[in-house]
Amino acid sequence: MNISKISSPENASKIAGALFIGISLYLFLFTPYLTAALGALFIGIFTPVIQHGRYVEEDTAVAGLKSGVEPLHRLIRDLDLDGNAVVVPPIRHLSESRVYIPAGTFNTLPDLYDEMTIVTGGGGRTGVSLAPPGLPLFQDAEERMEHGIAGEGIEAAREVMGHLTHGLDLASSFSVRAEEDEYRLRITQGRYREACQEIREDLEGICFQAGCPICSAYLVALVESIEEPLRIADFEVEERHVKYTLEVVR
Amino acid sequence: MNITNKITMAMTVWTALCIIMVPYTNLELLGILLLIGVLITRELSSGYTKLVTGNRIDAFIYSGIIFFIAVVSRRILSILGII
Repeated sequence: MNISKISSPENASKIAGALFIGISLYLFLFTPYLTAALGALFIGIFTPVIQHGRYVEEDTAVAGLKSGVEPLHRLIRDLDLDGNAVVVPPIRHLSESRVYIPAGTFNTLPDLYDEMTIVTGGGGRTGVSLAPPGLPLFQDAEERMEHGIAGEGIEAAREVMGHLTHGLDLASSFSVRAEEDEYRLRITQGRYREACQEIREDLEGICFQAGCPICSAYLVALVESIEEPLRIADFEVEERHVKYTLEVVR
Repeated sequence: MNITNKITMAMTVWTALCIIMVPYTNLELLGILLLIGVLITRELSSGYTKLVTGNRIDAFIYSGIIFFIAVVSRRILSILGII
């Protein structure tokens, strides 16, 4: 077993647990500090039991994020799609959220189907309809909730975003608010800030055309809760924040 | 820091505070304070934890409740003069 395996969180918690139990035994047997002994015993059992999950290296997680979005970016670039994305919730013919990227200027949303990737809706409505890169992250967060969010409104979106932020640790904080026909989403980046910056630099325009898996998960949470398609109208980065302005597509 | 790290940190800090506050032979009071800590942690983290983590915290809560029942029963018996 090498040093990195020993220092991994699941093993570190077991070592810390054993250490606390050892301290507890010493305190019980050789000192009058019974409360300290009981406290150490409690922490010695609690820590390894709660820290049970298996962990991957942060580099691996970041590579996973990049590999989720790089093929998508290449596809968009090769097909010469230059419109801003529309994130579409499972409405009409769709059973899962999609991200529609138009070939040119976006006018109206064509009919989208689950089995349709290349969309030729007529009237210049050509583009691709893909599964959002953040869909699995969104589904993981949704599984932790006790109820579905479809059509439950912006408060439900905030709840799922809370799971994404505090449960999955994808960002430090977020804010989302509605303004007439627009929504404004601000994500304050946390541990994945550098990875996000690398993705923005390497995959130019991805934030307008699909978003990285993290931003995409937040966008899917928003569209699924309000059940309206949202077009990415603007995107900007300000220090630790990324800001999306999203227009409702009627 | 993910949610299980936060739970562990919170409980470690709470346990340390309890050890400082409680007289060093009063195990009953410490046990009950730890149970309160676990209950609050469970409530505050319930929306963010995975099912398996929640079940594991629940196991501590059940153990704590059994401990609490034992403490209360012992107190009642001592008040009645049975033990």
